[in-house]
Amino acid sequence: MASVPSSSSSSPSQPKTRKKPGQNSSPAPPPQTKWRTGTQERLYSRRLVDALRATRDRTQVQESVGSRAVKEAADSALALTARGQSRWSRAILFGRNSCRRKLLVKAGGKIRRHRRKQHGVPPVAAEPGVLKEQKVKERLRKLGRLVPGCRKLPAATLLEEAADYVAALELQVRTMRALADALSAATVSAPEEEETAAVDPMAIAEQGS
Amino acid sequence: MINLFIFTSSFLSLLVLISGASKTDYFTSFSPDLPLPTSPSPTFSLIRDSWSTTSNIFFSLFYLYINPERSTTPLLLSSHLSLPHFLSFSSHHIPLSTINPFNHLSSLFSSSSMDRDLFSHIDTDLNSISYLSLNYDHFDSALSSIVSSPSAAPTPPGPNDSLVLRELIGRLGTICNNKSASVGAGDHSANTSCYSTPLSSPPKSSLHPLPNMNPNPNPMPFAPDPGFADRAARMPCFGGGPHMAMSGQLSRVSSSQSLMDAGMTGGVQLEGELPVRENGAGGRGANNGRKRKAGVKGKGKEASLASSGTVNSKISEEDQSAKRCRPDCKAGEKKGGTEEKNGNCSENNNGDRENKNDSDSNNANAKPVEPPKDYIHVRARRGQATDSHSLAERVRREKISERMKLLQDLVPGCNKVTGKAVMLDEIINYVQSLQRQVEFLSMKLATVNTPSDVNMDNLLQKDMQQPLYRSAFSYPNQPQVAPLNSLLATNSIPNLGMQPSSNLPFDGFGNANPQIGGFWEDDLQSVVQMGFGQNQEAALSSQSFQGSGPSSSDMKIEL
Repeated sequence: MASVPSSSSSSPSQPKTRKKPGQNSSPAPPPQTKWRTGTQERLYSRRLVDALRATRDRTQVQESVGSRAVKEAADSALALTARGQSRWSRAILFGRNSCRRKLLVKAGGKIRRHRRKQHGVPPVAAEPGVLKEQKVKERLRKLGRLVPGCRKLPAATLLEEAADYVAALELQVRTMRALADALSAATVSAPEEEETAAVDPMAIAEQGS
Repeated sequence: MINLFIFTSSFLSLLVLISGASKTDYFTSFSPDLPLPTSPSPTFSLIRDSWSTTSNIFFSLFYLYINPERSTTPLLLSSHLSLPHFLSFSSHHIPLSTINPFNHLSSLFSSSSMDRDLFSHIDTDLNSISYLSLNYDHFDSALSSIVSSPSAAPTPPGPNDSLVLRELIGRLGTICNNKSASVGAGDHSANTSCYSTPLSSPPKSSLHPLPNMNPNPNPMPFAPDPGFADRAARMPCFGGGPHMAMSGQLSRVSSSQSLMDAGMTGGVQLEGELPVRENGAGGRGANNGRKRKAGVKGKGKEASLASSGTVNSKISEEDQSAKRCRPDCKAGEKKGGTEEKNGNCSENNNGDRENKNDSDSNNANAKPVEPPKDYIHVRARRGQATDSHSLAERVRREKISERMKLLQDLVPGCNKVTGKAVMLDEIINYVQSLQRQVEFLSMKLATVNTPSDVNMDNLLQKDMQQPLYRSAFSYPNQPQVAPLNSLLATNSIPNLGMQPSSNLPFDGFGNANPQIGGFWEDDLQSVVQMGFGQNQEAALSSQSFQGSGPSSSDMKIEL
């Protein structure tokens, strides 16, 4: 990851110059610069915090917070940050809102949970060239399964979505890790904080001025 | 004689039965006698035959004047077959007016699709007809054409007739040349024009602008061979679609001409052109080149081709430019091209056929200028097929490789890897690891989440939003949070700063993560106890989200 994300601490506002969904080719910013700006991180972190709080509030009554709920909340927050411009983000958002099963049943299609291995295993290839093609196709299919909502995409779109998704995932991981660590640190050091609570704000104020 | 009459009458009846319903309507209406079988008495048959033949001829003339273009196979055959009767009876009885339409008849006969079965019947009469045709000047054009048509049939005529046929064909050429002025005027010009075109100048045919060639659904018969050869010779540009059809037609023409053993220059020219075309296509394939959007290399390619031969270059240029426009059109259509684009493409295609230089210059000018519309000019590279399909394939493949490169930059450790399959493997592994991390972190967050509500609001929000040294001021109500903020800032920033620059292998990342987090926690606790938090946070605040955060070792030193 040699690319350096643009500095964003100076920009107080959060201008989001997003590409229109219609433009799919070169005008789209590459996912690295798009997802590594500080604005994205801020946005995402805020959304993540909100989502986590909501999750906590929701589940506090019933039971302990499920990790799956947290994960889903995080994914939804990430998809929101993507603003529905990428296919996977739309798939996540729409997959969450209405239960996928209901949608599928309404549509009248079967719900295929597992991908049959028989379909996946290709027959014996004649030449090495064909073999390589099959390998590549297999992997593309696998990738399509990994990226949400990208199962039946052509290769070019799939790769684009995968790039976007990878960048978004990196952001998510970063933010979540920071948050988790912060929270854990907070919880751990919370009892010790109260002692120095009075002192620190003053010191900080002096430092800041 | 009588036998001949009986034979013809029976044949006419057969024809009537064979012909379509639309035609039989006329037949039955005008000549009710025809379906009758052979009459018993010869005299009666003679009378009937004479009447039938005359009625046939007049009816055919009438029919022709009404519908000149319709295929009137049985009519013509019947009329032609009745000619011997005419000639046998007396030529004087035939009004001269009937002779002229035979030109039409011949043209129609040539243009219509012939039934091969009928030809076999005609073969028996060939001798008589050919002999007769030689005697009559007016019938020459008609009969020679008729004779040539059966001669072009796959069943070659007998060796006796070959000489006659050759003579007739030669005459046909001369006749057509002579009659070019007279015939081509107001007749069924589409068909006669093919005869009127000078056969002696086929070398120009390839360079003529292409007439509106309707790809005939019914394959052209071998009848108008000179005209057909000419028309075929006029087709310089092999499109992707009509290519196969035209090549098939050309091959057929050449075979038929070989059959006829024609000394026509047209045949020779065609055969000369065929290998030329093949060379052009092969030459293009043999050349090496790259597909690109600029037109420089393409121009060089054209120049090289032009040097090889004028005809070759012209054909190849035409093809090339046609192909150039076709992928443009195709790409334009793929991108949802507007009408302007398609008009552009069609213009280019027409322009190519007429002015190759202009089209080249236009294309060259268009290439460096990026069109405001959304489509890509694609040019075939040297040494690669110029088929529109393969060009589109190439565009697609380039798109894919472009995206793969993008992914390569994203995924760490993929710079050394080459090849799609391995790259995709790496990408898949990376995505899976990232997803696993997310799951793990979500689990962790879930465990951390429950205890304190208030912290969540301020923790990361303030970290991300504002510089950290101001965080204290924003929390008047929650003094206990401020030091937390500072702590968390110190905690979070090193994490954020570390992530992008870390070279940890992602296999062990998940495992390394809690250790590092724990490590920082311990350190920060010690920091807090020492009261150096504010110093750290001041130092670290400047390192917000720039990604070039200090490495872990630096952080240690700072602390």
